[in-house]
Amino acid sequence: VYDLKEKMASEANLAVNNPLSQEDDSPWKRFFEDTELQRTIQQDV
Amino acid sequence: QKLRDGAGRMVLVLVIGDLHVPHRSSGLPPKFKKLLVPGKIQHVLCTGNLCNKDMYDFLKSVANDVHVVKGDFDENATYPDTKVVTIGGLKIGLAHGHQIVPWGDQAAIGMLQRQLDVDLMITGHTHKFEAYEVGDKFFINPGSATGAYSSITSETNPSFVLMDVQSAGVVVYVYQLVGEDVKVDKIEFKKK
Repeated sequence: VYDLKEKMASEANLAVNNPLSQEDDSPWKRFFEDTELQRTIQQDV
Repeated sequence: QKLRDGAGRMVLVLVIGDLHVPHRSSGLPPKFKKLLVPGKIQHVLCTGNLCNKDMYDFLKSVANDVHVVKGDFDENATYPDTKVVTIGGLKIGLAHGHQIVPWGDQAAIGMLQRQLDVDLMITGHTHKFEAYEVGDKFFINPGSATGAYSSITSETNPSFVLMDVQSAGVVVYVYQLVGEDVKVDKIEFKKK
């Protein structure tokens, strides 16, 4: 679940909030990690 | 707007070109290389002038689906002059741009866009980032990812573009190397 408010607040900070960002607090980094985890779960089920 | 789930609905497209390796540049800036890792991007659209196979292999490592058009310095004769690719319902035209005279001219590029009948027209060659809208059509020039000099400009900031293709339009992220820093800008194109 992604908090929309949190994303909007960080909207201004594009250096962190962009799809290629590797910063720990980037919502995109979290998104890709979650996607990877989901893929692993799907493979395992 | 929300980041989408892992069911494959996220479509990221890398738009990159005019690398001119090894003639005008030894390779991508290390700071760009660090950003372009495998596993995030689904498609690569390259405006050409790679110019060698190493650069093609690198793009292939970023995403499996790589489309390249032929630049005036590409020796690979299998690259076509223009290409039309449909991604997520968006019809995208790709051309290097040295064939379009005057170079970088919006009206001339618009003619090619109408010929190819595409929603989004991508060209390169000028080594200058551009993103604009004419009517309900979008136009992007990703610039040169290595900041190679061109016949038009001697100094260019290295740049490339990443597109997040959504059903309502395209979110365009522009990555530019300014001095030592990667500067990110965002432009949204909305379908009418």
